[in-house]
Amino acid sequence: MFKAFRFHPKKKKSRISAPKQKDESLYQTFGVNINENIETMRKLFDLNDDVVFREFEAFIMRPVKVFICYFSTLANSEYINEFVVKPLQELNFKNEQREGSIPEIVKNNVLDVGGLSGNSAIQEVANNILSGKAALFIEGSETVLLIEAQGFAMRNVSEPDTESVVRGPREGFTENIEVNTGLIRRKIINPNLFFEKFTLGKQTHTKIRIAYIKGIANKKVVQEVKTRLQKIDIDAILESGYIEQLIEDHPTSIFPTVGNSEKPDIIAARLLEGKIAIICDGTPFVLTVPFMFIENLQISEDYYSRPYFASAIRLLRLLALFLTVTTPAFYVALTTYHHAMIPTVLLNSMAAAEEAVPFPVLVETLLIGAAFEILREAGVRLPRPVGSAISIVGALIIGEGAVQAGLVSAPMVIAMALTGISGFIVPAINDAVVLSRLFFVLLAGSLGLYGVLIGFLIILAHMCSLRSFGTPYLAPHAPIIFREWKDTLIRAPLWIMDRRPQSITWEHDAYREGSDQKPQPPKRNNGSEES
Amino acid sequence: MLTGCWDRIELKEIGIVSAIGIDRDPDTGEILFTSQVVDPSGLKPDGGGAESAIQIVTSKADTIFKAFRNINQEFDRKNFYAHNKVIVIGEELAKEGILPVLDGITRGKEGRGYIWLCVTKGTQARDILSSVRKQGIEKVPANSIESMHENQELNFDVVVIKLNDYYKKTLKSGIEPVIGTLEMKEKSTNPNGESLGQSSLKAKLSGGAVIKEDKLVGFLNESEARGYNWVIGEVKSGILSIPSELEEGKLVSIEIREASSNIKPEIKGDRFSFTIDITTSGILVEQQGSGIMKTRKDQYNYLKQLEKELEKKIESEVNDTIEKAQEDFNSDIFGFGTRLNKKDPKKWKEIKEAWKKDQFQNVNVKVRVKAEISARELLQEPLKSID
Repeated sequence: MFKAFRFHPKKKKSRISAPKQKDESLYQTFGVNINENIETMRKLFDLNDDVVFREFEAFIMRPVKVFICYFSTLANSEYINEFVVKPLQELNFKNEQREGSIPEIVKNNVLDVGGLSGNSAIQEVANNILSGKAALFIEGSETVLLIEAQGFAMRNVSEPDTESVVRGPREGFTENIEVNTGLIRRKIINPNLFFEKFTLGKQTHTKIRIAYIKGIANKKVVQEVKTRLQKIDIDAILESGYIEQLIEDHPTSIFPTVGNSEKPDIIAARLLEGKIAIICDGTPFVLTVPFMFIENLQISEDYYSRPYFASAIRLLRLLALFLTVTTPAFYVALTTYHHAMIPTVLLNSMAAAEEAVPFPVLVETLLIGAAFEILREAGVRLPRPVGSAISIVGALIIGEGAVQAGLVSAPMVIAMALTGISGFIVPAINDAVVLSRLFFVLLAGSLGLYGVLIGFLIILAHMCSLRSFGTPYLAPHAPIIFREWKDTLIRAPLWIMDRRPQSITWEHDAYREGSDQKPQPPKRNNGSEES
Repeated sequence: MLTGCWDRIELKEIGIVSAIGIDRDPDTGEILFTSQVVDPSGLKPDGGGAESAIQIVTSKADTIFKAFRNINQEFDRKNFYAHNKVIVIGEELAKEGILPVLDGITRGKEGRGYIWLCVTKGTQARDILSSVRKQGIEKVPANSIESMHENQELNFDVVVIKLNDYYKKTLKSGIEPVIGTLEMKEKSTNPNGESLGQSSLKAKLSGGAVIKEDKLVGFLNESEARGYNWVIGEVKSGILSIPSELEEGKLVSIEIREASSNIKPEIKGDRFSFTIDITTSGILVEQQGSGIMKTRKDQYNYLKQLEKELEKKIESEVNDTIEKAQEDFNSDIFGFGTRLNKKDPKKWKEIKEAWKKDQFQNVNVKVRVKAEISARELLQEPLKSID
């Protein structure tokens, strides 16, 4: 009966992958005949408006025909004119003979540019031109010189909207991978910091780099990251989220097992713990693996401020996480099943508030929860100038109006407000929080506190089963690694956290600081000797 | 127990019962069940809504549980008993026995064990619950009654008991409970309590009600209640007035700060006797008479005299209570039997029955009181106008 509705043909065909470019010409190399090469390039790019083909005669001991090809929208024309065209057109080595082929001489003695490489594969050259380089063809040579002349519009380094801090660096990544790489390099000045290049996306050829510190990061994990990246076979990588979804360990879980950050100092800190960063061109969000659940509660400022308050705030964040997930569920469970658990006076006033509400508490909770998510989403999407309208609509109409009209009860609004505000404290796992909140509310509505408890067990068991690149998701709590508890619910003083996390580096005794780092005043006899 | 969708009850569907009262209907002989249900619309903070914060629901049936259910013939909410504060049992019904009543209330119900249990004196439970519309500051009178019970620790003139303690005492051999007593402060003439200036009607805790073998046998007045509290060690604080030594006819108030008691049984063959040791300390909080004590020695002597007076007063109150319990009620409210049981269980087994009949009445009790009045700095004489 349902066959009529089936979309797929009955017979299972082998999967047709995205069409590969079978253009034979791209896999060939350039020849020595410059005119043929020019013809090849023209065929490749001719329909484009922004491509620049420039043929002229250079003088290197003798007149030589050269050809420059670049995209005016990606490369810096002025730079090319000044440092490539101009030196070539001068009379180079008019009266002296030089050894070596002409491309060699051009490369070594003529051009005034920094980044320069040679290549002769058509595909490679085309991709390089498309990423903003200029290609220089020289008569009689099959090697094409690729000149770094990128010059396209990009955003400056600025403070990111996410992860804002009171104390700590304000800079954030941009959309440019080169800038981002530089930002990380500036944080960790160390020859062991490696950036390895990948190009992903069959159509987009997006530039990816993985960063890790050799000697700290686990080799096996680095290898695993590379393997997973190499396995990616997809048309487009438009944001690092694509990569995240294609390399994560548990694609079916609501919990993210790949971290991300927009700030170089956070990425640097994670690299120094032995994690691996994946930088993707075109997005300020840099991925890090392995990623553990506790990282959602850790923010960079914890480490920049003194440990006492940082620890208190950590606990508060944990409380907020608990509240934002369970407040509506507890409200529903207590008001529909366990009236006996509410203190009498509170019950009376809750009953007074609930009296005029026409819906069951569960429906009321779902309604106002949906309203809250709608408001939040609208606040994110709306253009800034219109944004203030959201708060007016939210606060006045939903908050005040709905209560006065008797559509929802005031305690419900307060509970949901608490839920929402708490959620803003742990923004990193907002998606998992919203979904599990709904899960808990439905369980509470059908099974009461018993249901909430079951929900806890299910979520906890699920989280215990997760791993991220070999690291248990709940480490260091499950499995228990006591030593690392110093940086979980509390943030111990820096001079106590003397070893790198074992759960990430897989190494037992990887010290990152000396043994006597606790600061103390100079001993008295020393002082008297000096004075 | 599992909860599930089938148990779902919205807050709008329940009536939160704050007090229940059970009487024997004098006309029909049926059980008369009264519940004081909170009306949430009367509790709204911004005013408005119903005038009164409670609704009184009564129903009749030949059993208590049937009466429970009969409520829904005339009331729109399902009664919810977990937040019940007080169980009031009518005097007449209490004379028939209390446990059967409690059985109907507590069996398979959401009721709690630490709620207050009391009987009425000279009135019906229904009258107390229905005619007292506002007892104190609280909008719900039952909450006020609960607070009055809790205030016993400031005031040892009354006896109060929690449901669990009642069960403990009445089921244990060798001790009988005394339970709290509620009476109307101003006699309501209309039993329905619907007219006659309702706002002026108040309930009041007074003395205690003596139970023997689960049946109400009589009441203690305030000084007897005090005597009872002294013996069982329930005195936490309270004011005693004793004659002032300085001036004839004037009184001194002593605030009791600490008290403890110890009951010691003595067995000599078939004869038993008990010694009750009461130790207490208090401070002088009010002085009507005036006089000057020049030396420290005078002050010391004065305090010693006051202590003697205090001891005498406590002793006489305790003796009165014991006498009443032995002669009028024949109810071992002090738990002498349990002490005996602890000391000599074999003997207790033999005499258990006789104890209930008459042995308790004939037992010899000696009371020893040790009182101490401290805080000499409070001995200053009162201020007086010079002319």
